[in-house]
Amino acid sequence: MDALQKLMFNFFPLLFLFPLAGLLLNVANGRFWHKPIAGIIASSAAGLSFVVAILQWVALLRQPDGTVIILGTWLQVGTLNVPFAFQVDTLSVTMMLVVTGIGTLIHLYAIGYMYGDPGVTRFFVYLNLFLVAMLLLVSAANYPLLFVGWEGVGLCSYLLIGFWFDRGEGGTGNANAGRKAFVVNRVGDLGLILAMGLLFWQLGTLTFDDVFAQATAVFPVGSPLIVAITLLLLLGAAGKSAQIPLFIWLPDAMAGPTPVSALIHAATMVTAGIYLIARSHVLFALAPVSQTAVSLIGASTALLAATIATAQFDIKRVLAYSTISQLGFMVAAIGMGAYVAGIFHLITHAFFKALLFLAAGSVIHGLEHGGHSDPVTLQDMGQMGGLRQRMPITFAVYLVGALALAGIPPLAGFFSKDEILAAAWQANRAVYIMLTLAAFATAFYMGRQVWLVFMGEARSETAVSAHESPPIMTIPLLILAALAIVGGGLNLPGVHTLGHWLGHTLGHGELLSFNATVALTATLLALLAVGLAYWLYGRHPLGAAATDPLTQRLGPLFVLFNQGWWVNEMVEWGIKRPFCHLSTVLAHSDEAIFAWAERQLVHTVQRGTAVLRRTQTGQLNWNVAGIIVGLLLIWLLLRFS
Amino acid sequence: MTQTTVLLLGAVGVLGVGLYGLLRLRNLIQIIVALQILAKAAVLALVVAGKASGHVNLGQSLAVTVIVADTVIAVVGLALAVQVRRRLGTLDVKALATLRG
Repeated sequence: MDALQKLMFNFFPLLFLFPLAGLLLNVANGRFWHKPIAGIIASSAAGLSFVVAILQWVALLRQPDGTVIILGTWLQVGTLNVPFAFQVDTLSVTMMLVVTGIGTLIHLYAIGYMYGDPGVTRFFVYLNLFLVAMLLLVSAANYPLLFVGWEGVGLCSYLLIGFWFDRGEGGTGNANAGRKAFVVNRVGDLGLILAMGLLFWQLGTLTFDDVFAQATAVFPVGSPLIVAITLLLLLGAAGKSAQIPLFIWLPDAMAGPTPVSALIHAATMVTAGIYLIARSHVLFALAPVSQTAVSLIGASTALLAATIATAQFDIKRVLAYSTISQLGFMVAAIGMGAYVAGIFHLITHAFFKALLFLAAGSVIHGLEHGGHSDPVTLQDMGQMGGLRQRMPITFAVYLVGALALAGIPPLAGFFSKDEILAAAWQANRAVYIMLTLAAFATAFYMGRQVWLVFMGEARSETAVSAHESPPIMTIPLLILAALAIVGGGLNLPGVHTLGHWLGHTLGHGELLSFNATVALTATLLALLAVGLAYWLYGRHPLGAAATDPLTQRLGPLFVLFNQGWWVNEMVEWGIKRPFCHLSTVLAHSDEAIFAWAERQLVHTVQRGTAVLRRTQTGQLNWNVAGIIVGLLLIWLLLRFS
Repeated sequence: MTQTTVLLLGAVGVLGVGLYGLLRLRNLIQIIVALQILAKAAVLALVVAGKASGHVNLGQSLAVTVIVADTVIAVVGLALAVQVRRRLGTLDVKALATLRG
C-alpha cells in the first residue's frame, strides 16, 4: 500500500461523518432556519460523502485488493471480538458510489419536491440518517456491524414510509404501512440473526475475512449446517429485498414521499439483500441447494411481481411491483453464481428505477400543483393522459427510464438484464423461462404506463392543469436519464470492466460471453410487448370514463393480477388473523390464570396485614410493652440457644 | 446473700419501677420521670458492678457519664413536653396517637 493510497483511506471515516454532521446540524438548528436550508445542508452532506466515496474508489484503482479499516473496538466478550472494522474493497466501494451518488441526486430533487412541506427538516434528517446507516451496511467488515446498518436502514424506511403519518386510509394508513414494513422486515432479520449465531457457534468469529477463510475448511460442501446458514441468510435477504413471500410490504411502502420510494425502496435499501448474498458468496458456494433456492425464489418473484404490475392503476404501485420484479432478477442472478451480473443489474436498476420514481414524483408534483391534493386520484393513471405536451422533460426522461427497464438496446437495462438471462440460459432453463416471461411482462407494463400517463388526451381536469416541475427537480432527472442511457457501458460484453473490477472481491470467475440468441430473443420479446401495449392503449387512446382494455382481454386473470395474486390476503388470513386470534386467546388465558393468581396473592397479603395492622396503635405504652417483650425474647434466645 | 447481690436486686427493683411507669403512665411528664428512674437503675448497676469487679474508677466514671447523658435526655424530653402542651393542649399520650390501626 503506497503513501497516497493510505492517505486516501484516511479520509474514509468522513464518508459517515458528513451525513452525520448534516443531520446533527439540521436537528440542532432546523427550526431557526428558513426551510430550504435544511435541504441544502443535507444535499451538501450527501455530495461531500460522494466525493469521499470517489476518493476511496481512486485509492482502490491503485491497488484493487482492498483493505480493512479498523476504527476501534466495539464488542469484546469472551472469544467474541467485534471491532468497528470497515471493508473497503471493490464491492463495497461500488455500493458506496451508488448509494452516495444516487443519494445526492435524490437529495437535490427532494429540495424541490418537498418545498413548502412543514416537516421538510425532519425529512432531510431522516434522509441523512438513512445514508449513514446504508453506508454502514455496505462498508461493515463483520456481520454484527452490517446488522447495525441493516436495522438502521429499516428504521429509516419505517420513519420515512410513515413520514406523512396523518395521511392515508382513515388517517392512519401511512403509519400502518410503515409498521407493516417494519414487522415484515423483522421476519427477515430473524433469519439474519440466527445465521450469525450459527456462524459464531461454528467458527467463533463474525469478521467477513475470517468467516470466509474458515468456512471452506470447516463446512463440507452441502453439509446441513451451511445449508441452514445460507437459507437463513436468504430469509434475511428476502425480507429486505422484498422477495417471495416477504414482498408484501414494498407496495404499501409507496405511502412515503416519492424521493423516499426512489432512494430507499428502489435504488439502495432494497438491494441490501442482494449485497448480503453477494458478500457471503463464499458461503453460498458451499451450499448448492441454497443457491438453487435463491435463484428459484428470485425468478418466481420476478415473474409474479411483473404480472401484478401489469394490472395496477396507481403509478407508484406499478413501479413498486416492477422494483420487486427487478430485485427478483438480481436475486436469481446471484443465486446462479452470476454475482457480477446481479450487481451490474443492481447498479443500472438504481439508475433507471430512481429515474422512473423521481419522474413519477414529478408527474404527481405537476398534478398536485394543478390544485388537487387527494393522493389517490393524483396517482391514478386512469386520471392522467396527455401529459407529454404539458411535462415535456418529465416525459422524455420517463421514456428513457421505461425503455431502459424494458431492456431495449442500447440502454442500460438491456445489457444488465441480458447478462442475467444469458447466465440463466447456461445454468437453469426453468429460471431462464420465468425470467424471460417476466422481462416480456416488464416491457408490456412499462409501455402500458407510458401510454396511460403521457399519451392520448387528458382524462381529468387535474391532468389538464398539470405543469412541468422546477429545474431543481428536472436536472437530477436529466442526469439520471443520461446514466440510464450510458450505464450499460459499465460492463459491455467482451470488455467486462465491472466484471474485472468486482472480480477482485468476488473472485475472478468465468466471464459470461455475449449470447446473441438470448439477447435477440429478449429484445424481440421486449419490442413485441411494447407493440402489444401500443395495440391495446395507443391505437385508440382511452376516453375519460373508459375501462382498461386489459380488463376484458385477461378476464379473471386481470382480477388476479390486480389483486396481487391475493398474497396480501393469504398472509392476512393465513398468518396475521390466526396470530391475532392466538394472541387474544393467550391474553384471555393470561387474565384467567396468572392475573387471577396475582389477585389472590394480593388478597391474602391484604387480609394478613389487616390483622397485623391492629398491633400498630401508635400508643407509647403499647410500644414500650413491645420493646420489653422483644428484649425478653432476645434474652431467652441467647440464654437457651 | 452478699452485699453485691442485694444491691443488684435493688437495681432490678428500680428498673421494674421504671418499666412499670412506662407501661402504665399516660402523662408525658410522668413518663419522663419514669425514664429517669429507669436510667438511675442503670447507674446503680454500674456502680455496683464497678465495685464488685474491682474497677471502681471505671464504674463510677461510667455512672457519671450516664447521669450527664440522662440529664440531657430529660431536658430534651421536657422541652418536647412543653411544646406538646402548647400545641395540642394536652399531655395525655393517648391523645398524641395519630396512627389509627
